Amino acid sequence: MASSTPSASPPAAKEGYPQLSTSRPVAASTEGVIPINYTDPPDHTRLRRALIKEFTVARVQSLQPMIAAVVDALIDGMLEAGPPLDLQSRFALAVPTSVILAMLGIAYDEHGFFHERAGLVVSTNLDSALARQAQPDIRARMREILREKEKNPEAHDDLMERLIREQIRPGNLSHEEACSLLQSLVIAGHETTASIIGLGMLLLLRNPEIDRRLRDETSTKTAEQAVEEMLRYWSTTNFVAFRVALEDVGFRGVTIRAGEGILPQVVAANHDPAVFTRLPKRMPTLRLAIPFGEVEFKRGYLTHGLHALPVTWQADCGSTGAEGTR
Amino acid sequence: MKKVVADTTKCLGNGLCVMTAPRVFTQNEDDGLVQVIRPVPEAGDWEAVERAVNSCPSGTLCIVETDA
Repeated sequence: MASSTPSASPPAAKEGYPQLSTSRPVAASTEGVIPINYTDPPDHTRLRRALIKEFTVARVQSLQPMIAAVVDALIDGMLEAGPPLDLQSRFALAVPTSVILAMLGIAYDEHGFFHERAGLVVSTNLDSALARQAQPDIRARMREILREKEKNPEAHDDLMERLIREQIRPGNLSHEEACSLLQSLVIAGHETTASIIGLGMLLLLRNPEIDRRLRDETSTKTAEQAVEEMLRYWSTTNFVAFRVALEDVGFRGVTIRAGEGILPQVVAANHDPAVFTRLPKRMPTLRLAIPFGEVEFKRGYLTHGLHALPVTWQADCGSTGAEGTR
Repeated sequence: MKKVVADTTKCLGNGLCVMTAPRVFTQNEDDGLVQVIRPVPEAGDWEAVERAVNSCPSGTLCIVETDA
């Protein structure tokens, strides 16, 4: 709702926009440019369209051999270093960092600089001077790299060079807008992917039977489904889509007044029992029929479980059809 | 007859439709915006098309009834 309705706006400049901290506004403009994720159309459309063709499904799929080579090289490095080591920094973070820097055409030597600052940008330690300086530092480095590439934007045919040739030179994007977009890409290219790789691995390490099923599976379909499910289950980006209502807007019987902040909760939507489980949806008043203390757990078995699970519900509240369930 | 239509003035090129129903949608190589390859999908593709229409974050896609 919040991403498709024209009556809810993200610009932090607008009154009522939810801020996590007054000392470090999430969407402060730099040199008069607001980050893309805090703009409205027509600016948002123009900024976003400057990058769409770099991230089409076909283009991203064509990166697969490069990403596989990155993954293999990192595994080689870990095997060489020997156990134990930190998989989060050596692999989970190194994969997306290597990939986004390669796409942009930035030398991997720079990864430490960008990694440290991208981490601070998403930190909730909002008042640290280091955290406040992270965004300006990334922007300043982007300006330098872009200026260097502008001297010869036909050298490597990377994303930054295409942005120079196809967007900055024809006048679709200002120099500073391009720096802002690149800043957003490099930050987004670090934390979210690194988080889900680490959490996903933790999930597999804690659930050997799921891990075994994925290893034994020859079709990539199952791995794709597992990744989708991990993204839903962990919901790592819960605080990214704040909005402010531009006019009174009704939503499921609630009126959100103009100027009120909206903080959509991705994790709540991704764990909505009405959508993601059949049983609670069709039997919404389901509850234990006996006190919890009387539930009989199995003892003396190789598997842990229950002998019986007596339940009850309000008989007129059940749904007999399967419509609307999934 | 049912038909899929795309309003490319709204499209933001997320590509969810291409991943969900690759036989029906593609993205223009030059601008990344949606192209409907098969406006009248085969019977077996309708379920995926409906999911694509419902999951489009910019409200670009819809299914319409036509006389033709």
